[in-house]
Amino acid sequence: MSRFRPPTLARRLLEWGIPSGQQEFLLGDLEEEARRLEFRKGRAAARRWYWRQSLAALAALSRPGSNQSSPSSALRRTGEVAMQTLLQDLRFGLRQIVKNPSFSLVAILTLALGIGANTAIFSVVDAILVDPLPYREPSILVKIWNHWPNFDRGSISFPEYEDFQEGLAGLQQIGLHNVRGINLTAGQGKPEFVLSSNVAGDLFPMLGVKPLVGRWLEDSDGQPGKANKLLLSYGLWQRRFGGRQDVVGMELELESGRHEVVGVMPQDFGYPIPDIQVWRPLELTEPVRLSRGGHNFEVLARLEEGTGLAQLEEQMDALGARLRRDYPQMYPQTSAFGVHAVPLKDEIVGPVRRGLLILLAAVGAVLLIACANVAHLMLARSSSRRRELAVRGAMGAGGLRLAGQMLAESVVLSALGGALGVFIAYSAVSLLRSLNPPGIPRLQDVAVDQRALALTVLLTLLSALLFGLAPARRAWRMDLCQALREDGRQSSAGGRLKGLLVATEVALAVMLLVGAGLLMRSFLSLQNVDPGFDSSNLLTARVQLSSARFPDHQARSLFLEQVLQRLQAQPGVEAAAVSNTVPMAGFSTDSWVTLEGYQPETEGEIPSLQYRIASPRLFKALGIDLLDGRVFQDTDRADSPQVVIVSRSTAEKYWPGENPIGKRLKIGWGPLMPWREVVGVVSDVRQRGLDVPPDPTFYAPLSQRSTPWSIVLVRGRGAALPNRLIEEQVQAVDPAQPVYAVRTMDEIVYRSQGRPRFNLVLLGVFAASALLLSVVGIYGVISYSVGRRRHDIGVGLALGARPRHVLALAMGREMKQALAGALVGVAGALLLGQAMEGLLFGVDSFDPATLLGVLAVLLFSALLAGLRPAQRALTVDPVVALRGD
Amino acid sequence: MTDFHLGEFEQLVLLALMRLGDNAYGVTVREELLSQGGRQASLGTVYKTLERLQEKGCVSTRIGQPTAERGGRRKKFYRVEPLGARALERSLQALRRMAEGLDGEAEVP
Repeated sequence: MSRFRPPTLARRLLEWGIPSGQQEFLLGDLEEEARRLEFRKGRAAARRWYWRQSLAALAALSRPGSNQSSPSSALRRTGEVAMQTLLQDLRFGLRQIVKNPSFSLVAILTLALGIGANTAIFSVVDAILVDPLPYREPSILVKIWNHWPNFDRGSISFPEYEDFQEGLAGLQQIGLHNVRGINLTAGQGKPEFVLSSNVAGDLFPMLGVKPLVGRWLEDSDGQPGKANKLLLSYGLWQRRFGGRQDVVGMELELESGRHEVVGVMPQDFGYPIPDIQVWRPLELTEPVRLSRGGHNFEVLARLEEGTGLAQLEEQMDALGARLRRDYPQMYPQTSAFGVHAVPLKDEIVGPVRRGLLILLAAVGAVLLIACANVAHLMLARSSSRRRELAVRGAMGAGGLRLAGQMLAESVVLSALGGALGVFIAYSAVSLLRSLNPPGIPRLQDVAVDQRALALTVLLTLLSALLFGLAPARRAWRMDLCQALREDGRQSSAGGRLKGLLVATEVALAVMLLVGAGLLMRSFLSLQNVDPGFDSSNLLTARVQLSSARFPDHQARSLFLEQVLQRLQAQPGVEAAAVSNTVPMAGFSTDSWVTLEGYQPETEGEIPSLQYRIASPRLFKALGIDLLDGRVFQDTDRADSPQVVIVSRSTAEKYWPGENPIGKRLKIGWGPLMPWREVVGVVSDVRQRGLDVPPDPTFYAPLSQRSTPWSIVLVRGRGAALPNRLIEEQVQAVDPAQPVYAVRTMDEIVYRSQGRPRFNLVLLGVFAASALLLSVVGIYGVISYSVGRRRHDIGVGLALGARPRHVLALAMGREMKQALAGALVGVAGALLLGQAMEGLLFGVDSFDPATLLGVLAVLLFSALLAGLRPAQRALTVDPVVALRGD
Repeated sequence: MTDFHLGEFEQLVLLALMRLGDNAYGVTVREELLSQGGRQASLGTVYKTLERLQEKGCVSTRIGQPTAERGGRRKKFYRVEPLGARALERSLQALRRMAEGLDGEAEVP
């Protein structure tokens, strides 16, 4: 067992607060006894004991002056005296804190909560929004996209990439990449699915992150026939090669063949997405180089020094126009088609920016409320200690010295609150990271950073000065005679300040509560949305069929149909099906289509529909209703007439008022594409999330269309299905075929709401803190004011005032201030609601129900908080009060 | 002749020192106060009292050797000086006289 160590903070406090003459012996005694106690009662008890003893010793031994062995030696130098005075004051402050535990606890916790939460959220915002991306000169990196009439993030084909290289003079470097799943077949253990990126051009030099081992991939690595090279991620290097330094030149077997390792990237490198495990050169085969319609890539580029985004946009507009002119059959003939650039940072953090900024504002408001509360507490305390200070003054303490003592107490309070706040910040950040809500980018990069810490320290010091200043100023300018007369009625100095504090607190609390209320209502209305499918008892898993082993549609559909047959025969299986993706999984597959008889309103517009592959039982597995016609059957074969099923919204949008059954549809456009006949209409599904209305969708049968990436769905009957069910049946057909992303549909739907849940939980916590802190604040202010107005209340009671009047006297003014604050808060909440517009779903940013509810809750809480201390006013004994005690 | 009176806790501490002889330091004094006197006192209070007694000249101190169980710190041993012994004697006599003639439990040694 390791030796007992005294709690560091307690020991430090002792070393600082106990006179040097006694320090060593006291510390020794404490440690000796604590060890014995640990032996008998355990470490925790010993530490608690040590803390209690330390605080008691500080209170007993650190009296101002007790460390001055002889006054004459201390007076030798003025500097020494000043230091002694400062230490005395600080010790005095500490002693005050120990002597008033409840006051101190409330003040310290309030400060710690404000500072801790603020630091945590600041760190999160800083890491996600402010910190530069971990690449070389990241601010001038841009993603380049095609924009289409109804879609502005269109992928790029290789010929287009070459057009960018030639046609965009404002670019310094350019590279392209994709993300593909690939199966690792070699090595020990099971086949494994990993994410891989094919890259070309200057991608690695442009990002500028040096490989840990070996070299980058270069443009020349992509020559046809010689492209079997790869760059490992740190994780895969550790897993498959045990982190060997001599890994360069070794081989890794992928299903597409053996690949030579050329290097390893560092651990935190994750471009284009964090989970990527392998980078391979894009093999520049003829199909890749020539297929202008092969929109399979994304393009990253670095701007030329001194080129602005606006200049680049000009060149892009020109390029877009040239593409439309040169390839009229490829691109829609409208300026709605073109090329545009988005800064990489916006691309990554854009979706969460607004939510995070609102959280930052919210947490700032919590800090303000916390500060206001501590200010109350300090003001109230300085008033109650007026007489004590007056006595000290009468005995010869100078105004400066008294002010110093008041200030010292608030400095010590703030320091303790700040220390606890830092602790809370660290805990909160690690909690957020471990929760890892889906949909929040860069969260793993979040750490309590130096700037946030510095800001905390600054806030702490500032708050100390701020809170200490008012009481200190009063101590300085105190009129001794008046204060000593102890007539119980003090000047109303600070009264207006306190009124302002109450109003501010209430206003901020109203804003936060309305914000949280709107998010809550919006979240609830999300839960009530009918997604169009039934997610219960539905297991899904992804399967990636390699083009090496499953070269064509026939091979793929044969394999998948075999798997489905086996799954369908398993006990407890209601329906097994295959599709290309499931709703809300974060992937959406859409396709341009040509619809028979549909005339687009704007010229050149090409309708884009969500495109789903469906085995016959898909609709049953997902619980999608057949509205008209029929679902796919086993008689729909590859060589039978080509058929599709459309969703209701497709039919309503493109063939309004007509019978869609028997209409025809083409995937893509042009005379070469075959017409497919609509044989059924099914109900709508929210494909991209609960908050996105159903997209028009069409389904093609698995027997006629398939993709290399597929998802297998199994609906259970009764008990939940075993997690390994799909994997077992897939590998029963082909042992080398890995399965990945095994999830229940409920889980997928849950994860799709990660972002609104993250915002709601955090803002909810902040709003609750704000409410709690304001209630504490109002309670404190009214307690204080009742104490201060005892005399008036006594007079009132003596003259026969009714309880109603007494209550009005005790808390009337504070309630009016709270009401005024609430009204200001409502105005603020309206502004906040507008800022939150994009985060809300199914609720208006001006929501009277939320507003009224919040006002009711807040004013009721304020009333409750005020009533208890105000009731004390009713029990005032007029005789005692009038005696002025 | 001394011109001061001992407080009750000071008496207890002096008695503890006498009982402990050569082994009287913070930890043992506290233990003695608890086990014999039934008095729970913090080390800080004990130190404060010993400090006061020393200022009055009732006790003297001697510094011991550092030990490992104290984190390498030294002990400060206390011993009752003749002045302290006399003051204690006087206090106890006063108590005894005051209790004389009263019934039952109020007897003192």
